[in-house]
Amino acid sequence: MVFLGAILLFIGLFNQTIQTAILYQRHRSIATKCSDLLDNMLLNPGVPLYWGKSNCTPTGFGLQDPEFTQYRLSPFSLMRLISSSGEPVYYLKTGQYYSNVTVGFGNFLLVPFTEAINYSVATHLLGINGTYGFRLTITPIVTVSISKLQSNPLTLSVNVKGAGFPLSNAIVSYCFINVKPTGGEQNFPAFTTDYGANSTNAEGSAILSFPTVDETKESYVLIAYAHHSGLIGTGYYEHILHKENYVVPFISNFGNESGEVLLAHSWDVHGGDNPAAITYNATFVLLTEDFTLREMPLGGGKVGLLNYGNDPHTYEKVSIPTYNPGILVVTYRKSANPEDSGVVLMPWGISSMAFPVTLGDNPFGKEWVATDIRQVLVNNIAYQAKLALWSLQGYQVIG
Amino acid sequence: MMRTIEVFLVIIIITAAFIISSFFAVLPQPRQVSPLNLRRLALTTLQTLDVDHDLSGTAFKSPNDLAWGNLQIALSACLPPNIVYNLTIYEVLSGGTQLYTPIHSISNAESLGVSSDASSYLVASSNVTFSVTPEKIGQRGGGGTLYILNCSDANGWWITGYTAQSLAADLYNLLSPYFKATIMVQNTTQLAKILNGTSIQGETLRNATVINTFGEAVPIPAGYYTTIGYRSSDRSYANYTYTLGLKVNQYNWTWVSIVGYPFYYVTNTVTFKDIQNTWGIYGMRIMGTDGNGGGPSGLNAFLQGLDRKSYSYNPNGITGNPGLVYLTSEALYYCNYYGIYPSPYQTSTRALPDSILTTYNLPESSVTYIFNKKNSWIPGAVYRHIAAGDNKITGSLFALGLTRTPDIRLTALGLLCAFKPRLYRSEYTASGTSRLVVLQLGQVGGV
Amino acid sequence: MTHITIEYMIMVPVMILQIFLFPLTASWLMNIWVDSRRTLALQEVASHLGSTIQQLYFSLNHETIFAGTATYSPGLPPFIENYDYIGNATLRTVSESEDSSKVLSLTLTLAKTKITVTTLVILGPNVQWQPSVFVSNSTNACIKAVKFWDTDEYTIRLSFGG
Repeated sequence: MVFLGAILLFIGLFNQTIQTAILYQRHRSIATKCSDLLDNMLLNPGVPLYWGKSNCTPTGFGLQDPEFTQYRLSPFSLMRLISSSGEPVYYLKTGQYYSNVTVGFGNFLLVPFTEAINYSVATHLLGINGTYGFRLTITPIVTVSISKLQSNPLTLSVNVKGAGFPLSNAIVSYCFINVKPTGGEQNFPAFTTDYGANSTNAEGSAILSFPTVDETKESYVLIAYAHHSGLIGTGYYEHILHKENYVVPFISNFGNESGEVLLAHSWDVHGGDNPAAITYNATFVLLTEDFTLREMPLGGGKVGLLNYGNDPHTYEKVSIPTYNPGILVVTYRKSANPEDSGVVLMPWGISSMAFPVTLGDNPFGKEWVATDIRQVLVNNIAYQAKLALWSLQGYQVIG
Repeated sequence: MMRTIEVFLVIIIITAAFIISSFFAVLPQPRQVSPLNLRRLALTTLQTLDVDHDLSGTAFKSPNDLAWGNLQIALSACLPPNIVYNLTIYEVLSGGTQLYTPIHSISNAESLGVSSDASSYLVASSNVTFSVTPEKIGQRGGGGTLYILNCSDANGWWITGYTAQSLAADLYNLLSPYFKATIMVQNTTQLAKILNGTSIQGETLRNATVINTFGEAVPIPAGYYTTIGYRSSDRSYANYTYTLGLKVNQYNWTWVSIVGYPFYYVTNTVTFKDIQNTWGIYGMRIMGTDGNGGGPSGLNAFLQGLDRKSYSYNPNGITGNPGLVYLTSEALYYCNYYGIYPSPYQTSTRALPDSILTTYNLPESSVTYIFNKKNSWIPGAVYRHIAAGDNKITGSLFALGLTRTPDIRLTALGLLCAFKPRLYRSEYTASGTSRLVVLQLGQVGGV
Repeated sequence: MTHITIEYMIMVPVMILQIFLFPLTASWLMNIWVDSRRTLALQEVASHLGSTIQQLYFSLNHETIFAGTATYSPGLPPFIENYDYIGNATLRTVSESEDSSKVLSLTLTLAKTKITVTTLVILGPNVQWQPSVFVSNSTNACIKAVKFWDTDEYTIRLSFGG
């Protein structure tokens, strides 16, 4: 009995140490796998090469921009990933759910599930389904946050910081988009743009003043681009007077040469009180090298009327005729009164408004999570790609 | 008693063995087990900082320049707070015993810890120009001559704001590096020479590209071509463009029309010195009957000649007005490759119909689209003629059916899309023009 | 006295048995650990080799690269705990369609042991695999990729070299 007890004790004592050593060995292999998998995702464009600019389901998962090499990602491939962070939005007129990347009111990116890649498909394409789980987050390195210091005269503070520290001496180039409720053709709404620049101080802040703007009568959006030594970041600030009825842009289709956007009335999406018809004017703008916006003509559907409920005009479609990254600016109004107007923005190409991307499961509660990071570029905007990887097979995982 | 001693011995042995093995079995820290790939992080950080060549520029500045402070700010901003770095610049020397000499170093920590990793990145001085050697069109398949019509005795139409001569000069600058020989056809006499199959300066005539810089008008040599070009039966000059079509087929030329309706007018300032094109420009005549109309007959006749059909006078217009048109994704890609950036959208009011592809044996699989088709209209493309039952190309037409005024960058881009000559980028090896940037990263804090 | 004799008759053989049993047990435990360690090391190598092959394919597949041959030495350790390893691979399509992606199944075997690991590499449709063997302790062990024009598109033929 003593002898048996001694044997069992002996095995028990050493087994614990050895098991822990084996586990650590497996954790090390998870770290290597994490690094390799991240490079596999970022350094290959996927199959077919231009899957990000079409509506096909890829047979190989990759996010690299096929027109470049190294760690440059495609802004459109990233758009086609179903976001794990936003609550999906359901639109009853199409009967579809949409992946939701919304940054504050008025900045929407809604991609239909049928046109996007979800986490399960990604794991299958990467060949790790059932063996590994992951979360891929791609976030801008430079974050630009804008806050209002005072209303009259309008003074805004732009704060620029990086992953580690504030970005001082950065140049902040801004576009001030001011909504004109009846400024367009046939009295459709329109917008004017003013440009300017300033620099951030040692704390990474810059002050912008707009003395002629009357907040009680004007809806506006400020888009600020901060750039320093090759790092570019984007931030935006909206002041929208009418938020009860607005336009919600949904991505409808990724065609081979162009994309289609469905402009919907907000009441059919989020409900609300006091629904009313609105007129809108959609404009597509590209960002130029000197950080100004250049308008690109849209085809049919760029102006129109949106109603709600059972009215036949609850949504309209507009075609974006290019796969150059830009921003769809949709001004809208309920009446000619400036207090009944507003504007919404939708990025075409994830980098145009520096939206973050999150794909994958939640690593919370997992036994061991390995992470790795890379600095990447998405259409010249600096992003950081981070992959968190864990084993799904508990203690039995091999590779 | 014995038993008790045995038990004690066993306990002592097992305990001692366990303690000794535990002493040696030290498990590593989590950071050693699951490290960040610092080498890749360093490399991608350097690439990000050099996207606008800021890193390259700073590497060549003196150590007390403000740019170093900006670089330090950027490094601190883009690396996570727990990453420490040391960035060192080395001068690259050739010859001698030491290849790299350290010049300057910036760091945010005294020590990078026990485990660190580094990546290196070579930068070039902005004073150095990369030489790009383009492959010559024709190097792989014969031909390689570019003829640019620069005729002093012809006038242009729909090239408002330019002269054919200024367009010719710009096209020469844009395209001559890509062709084995670029010949300016200085007058209609020289044009007649090449139509007759005789080279001007000993260049290869077959498989050449001919760019008509005169817009909607085509120069016509006096003498033989004016004589046979004029048909008394229809009192038009469409037979000249029919002959041109035959020649393009015979010599396997690529004929380029840079704007508008191709072959709408004929021009010779001597032959037509008293005739105007119905818009008040002398030295030019509208193609059709009695110079009163029938401009479309020129293109119809050209296509008949290209396809070796028999001539038939046809003054009916075939072009369409699709309006706003966009460059194809292939064309946009080659904009970046060749560094030519016309506006990606244009207005087309003279687009050709896609029915010509079947009518004149211009198979769709051999067409290079420069602009996206809009409904059944082709605003701009390179059409290649392949006779029925044949498999080789016998003549091509590159027609840009855009509204005036021409953007010859589109002409250059279209030709380069069609021929796709490769660009060979040469390495620079001049001393003092390259430096090595080494970024070493370490992690601090945590376990 | 008789009890003492019986006691010693049982204890002595059991003590002698202990001399053999304890080392056997320790050896069995260590074998589990050693096997596991070697398998993990081999799996890491296989994963890295697969990743390298995939990167090589996608780098050469870029439109700016024309026909040619590339040889890449993956920098893998020649031995895992003094044992060399051999690699084989087979290629298959993912689906029946013409432009289906292909999967390269890479198998590494540790010499003189029964340890075998397999990893899968996703490649594009324009790839071929030339049967070949990767010998880790060969001084010229490498991955070869040949890009050539095949009828109407570029194809990349991969193989092990050395």
